[in-house]
Amino acid sequence: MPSRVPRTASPRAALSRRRVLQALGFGLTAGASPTARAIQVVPPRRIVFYVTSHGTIHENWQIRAGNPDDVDYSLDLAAAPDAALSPILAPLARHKRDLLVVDGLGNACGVAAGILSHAAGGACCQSGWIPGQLLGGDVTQAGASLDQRIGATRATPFRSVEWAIGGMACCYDATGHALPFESDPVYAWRRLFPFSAAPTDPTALAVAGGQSRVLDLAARQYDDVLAGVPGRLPAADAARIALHRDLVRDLDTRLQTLAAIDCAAPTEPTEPAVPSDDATYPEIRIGQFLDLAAVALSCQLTDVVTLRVDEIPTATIGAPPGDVHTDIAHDVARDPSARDYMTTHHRFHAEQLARFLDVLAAIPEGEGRLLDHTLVVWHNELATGDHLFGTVPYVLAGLGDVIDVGRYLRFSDQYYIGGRLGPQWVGTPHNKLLTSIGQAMGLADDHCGVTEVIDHGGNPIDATGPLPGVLR
Amino acid sequence: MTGALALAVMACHRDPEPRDPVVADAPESPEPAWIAPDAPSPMRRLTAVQYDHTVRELFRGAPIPAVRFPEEPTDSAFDGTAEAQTPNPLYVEAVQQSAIAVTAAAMAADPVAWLGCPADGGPDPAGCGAAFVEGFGARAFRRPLTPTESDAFGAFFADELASGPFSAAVQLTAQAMLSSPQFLYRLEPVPDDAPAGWVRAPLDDYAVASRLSYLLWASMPDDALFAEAAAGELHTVEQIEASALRMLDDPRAADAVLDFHRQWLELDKVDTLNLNTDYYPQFSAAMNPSLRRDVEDVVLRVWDSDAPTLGALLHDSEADVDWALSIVYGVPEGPVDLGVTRAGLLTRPGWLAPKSHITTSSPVLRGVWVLERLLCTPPAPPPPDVTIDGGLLFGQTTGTNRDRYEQHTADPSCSACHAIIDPIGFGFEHYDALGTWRDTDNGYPVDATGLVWLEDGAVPFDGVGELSDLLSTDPVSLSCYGRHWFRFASGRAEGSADDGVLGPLLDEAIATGGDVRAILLALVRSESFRTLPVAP
Repeated sequence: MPSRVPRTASPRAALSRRRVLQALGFGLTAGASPTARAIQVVPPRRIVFYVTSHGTIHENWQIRAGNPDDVDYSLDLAAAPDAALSPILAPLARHKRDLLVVDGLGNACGVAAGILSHAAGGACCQSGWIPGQLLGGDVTQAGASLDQRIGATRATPFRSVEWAIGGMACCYDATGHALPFESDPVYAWRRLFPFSAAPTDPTALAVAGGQSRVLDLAARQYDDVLAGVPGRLPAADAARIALHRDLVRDLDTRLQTLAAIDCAAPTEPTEPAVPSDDATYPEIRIGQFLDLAAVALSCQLTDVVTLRVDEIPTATIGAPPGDVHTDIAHDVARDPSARDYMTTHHRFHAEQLARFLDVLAAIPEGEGRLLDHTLVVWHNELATGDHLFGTVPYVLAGLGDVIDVGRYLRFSDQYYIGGRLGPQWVGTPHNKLLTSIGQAMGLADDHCGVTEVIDHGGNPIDATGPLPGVLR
Repeated sequence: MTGALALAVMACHRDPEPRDPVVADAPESPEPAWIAPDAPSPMRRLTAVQYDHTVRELFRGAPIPAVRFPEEPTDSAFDGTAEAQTPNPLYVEAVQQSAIAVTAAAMAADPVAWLGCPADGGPDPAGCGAAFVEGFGARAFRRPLTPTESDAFGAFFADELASGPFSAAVQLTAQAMLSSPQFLYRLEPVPDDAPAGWVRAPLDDYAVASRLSYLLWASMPDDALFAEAAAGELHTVEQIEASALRMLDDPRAADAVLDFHRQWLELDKVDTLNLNTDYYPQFSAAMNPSLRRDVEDVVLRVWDSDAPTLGALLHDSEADVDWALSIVYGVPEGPVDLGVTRAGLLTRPGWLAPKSHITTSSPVLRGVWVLERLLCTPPAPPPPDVTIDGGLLFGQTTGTNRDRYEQHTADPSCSACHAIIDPIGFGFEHYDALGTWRDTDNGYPVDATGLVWLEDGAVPFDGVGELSDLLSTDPVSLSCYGRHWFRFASGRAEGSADDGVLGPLLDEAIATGGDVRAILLALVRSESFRTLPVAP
């Protein structure tokens, strides 16, 4: 792993950041805050993917401002009155100058996959590849998802973190396999701050102090197995052994870096006092994860966070007892009350996002705010609750020096894409937006995932290049 | 099968994509021709259950804490499926944390049983450590250490002992072993001296010992098995079968049988069951362990019987009723024969409730499970833009749950698959979302008649009892049960190259009524159990 970027000290900034974090309810322990040493001269670009489910209710998400559906247009959100924002996006009005809302993109890869829509949507939404399915049923990808590709370029202790409150996979490693999520904020916290409770017993101290040597010896065993002691392994098995060896080495490096990093742990999250089907439970859980994300980004423990959120009790959106997925989301095409409930559902996520943006905007960094150096991407596995991929909602926020924020972009092109489960109309392939996001984060690639998708008539649809209007 | 229904089944069935063999120009094999050279034997990693059993066996008698591995995002039926076991940072960290927790706990208790000396090393700490490296190492790696390994771990222990307490040196050395590929993976390398021209090579006896122990015990080999491997007595069909017979009579065999059925039945879903208490005020999550235990009891009772068959699993009606089961079954606490309405796994709340929605039973979820796990004809995923299931907002408040589903799936785009799924699932309508028996639903009599497609076509039935009778004897369900055992045992789905192994195995499953012992013995007798493909 490359060495970390040198840092400069700024006591004033540190005190300010601590006050801000405490004021926002981070519950930092005494003296515990990202300190000045965690601030670089040139802050790195970070990214947070907030991935929700069941698409959106498009008529309650879009902002038309008198424009017809079949034309491309751009709106100046920064100058628009708050009331111009749609019912779902309204909670984000206070951040409209930091927003780039992208309307009209479709998940063409998801259609082309021809597998269960939720699985296909999750597999495609952050990768842009057309997933396949192994004999055992597992969904695999042709390569890494965008979050992993960005993370691979970073020298932070954690190249990325993947958290979830339910939902199918959306992060894929370089071998195309889905990555597991950490679903408990307590364990996410322990992972970020493994040295927050140092042992005092001499034996335990010696054991803790010997971990680097343990990992080194273990890693050498992987080397020996790869070298053919005793006997030779098939190539596929050898590749897994090599990957495991690299991950052991990474862990050793990570633990050494974390031991040296000057970022005191916030208070360990606790299990919410309310049951998991309580209306307030998701807000508490999401808040715990996003608060951790803010600290992790601020301390440069990682530059890449994915938070997948799927499981919301009906009580949260004021609906009768049931299951949001099967009892409500599936019915949006034929039941007005289902549309109303799902509008509340998506608005709920806008509220969580707005609160997170509040936090990022309140943390000073360099000459600006943490939000100025962090791109937040709110996106979705689907376009609608009944499994269409046509117009997936995208909201970008932050990183204003790179992203052309303060605007609403509408793309009106539609393509008829085939798939084993049936064709459907989808907008411009979202691969282009992923490409733009990748470029914003420093990747040089001119595409993300597939380079083209074939329409129902057998004609190729170009999926390369950045999406116009996203980057400054 | 009638023509129209046959077409419907074919349209709905999701055929696995065939894979092309990767072995090209394989020379003539001395092995029997019915084993295709490309029948793969992927390297498998210990599952969480296998890890747990193994460390308990390794640290004999020590109080080992439960360890936490990340939940792998897999759609495979079995968590030992090799293709889903790609390592990732979360897993590697969990391995390290588990090793620390396990060794600390093992050392905190009296370690003599597994270490050979007290926690302070006794009179000869260096000698105890050296013996520990060789003895414990051979058990952890499931074969004697190579000289390279002995040197590496011996030197490591000596270095740690020189700079710290004996207890820490032991823990650190054991942690390194528990983090090594020789422990975590079931390495089955091709011998360097495999004769030229072979397309399949015989496994060495230690690898056979591990195949036997992880299939039959979900754990590491015991001393007797190690001794047989050391003596070269795990080479022939007769030797392997003799060992398997001994192992099947060992109490540890129940662990493996339970592990198979835990996954086949999706029993882990019981742990997070959370029905809506407005609809089911008698439900609380505190009941979940009882619901799970009830199903596990069926499996263990049948396994302990003289005829551990699929039919027995689908007909066992006994229960050890506790407070929670008493609520669902409506009988007093204590051991009881529940009678025909609770005959078999498919009538138990531990199976029924997780295949429900939180307010209503789901004929679809229950029917899909039968199609996937007992008939091996998984339905295709639903097309886009259709409502799949459920619907408290569906608008219909009169009639039964079945009425709702029948209207729901009348849509032509749904009916191709639901004509197959729902008639099976409707057979379960005497059981509500919790699994409580009901004669009426929403004030109307329950109609639990259904239709299931078996060897000779569509067969009508009324209720789970009749469905279980059919599934207990039909070649389609019996062979499907055997097919799942193959997947569990092999760590992969079957392919065309496995026909030579699967044929006899499925024949055995059909001939014995799905006898688990017979299926397991057929598996270990197969040529592929004691050989592995030689890559060109």
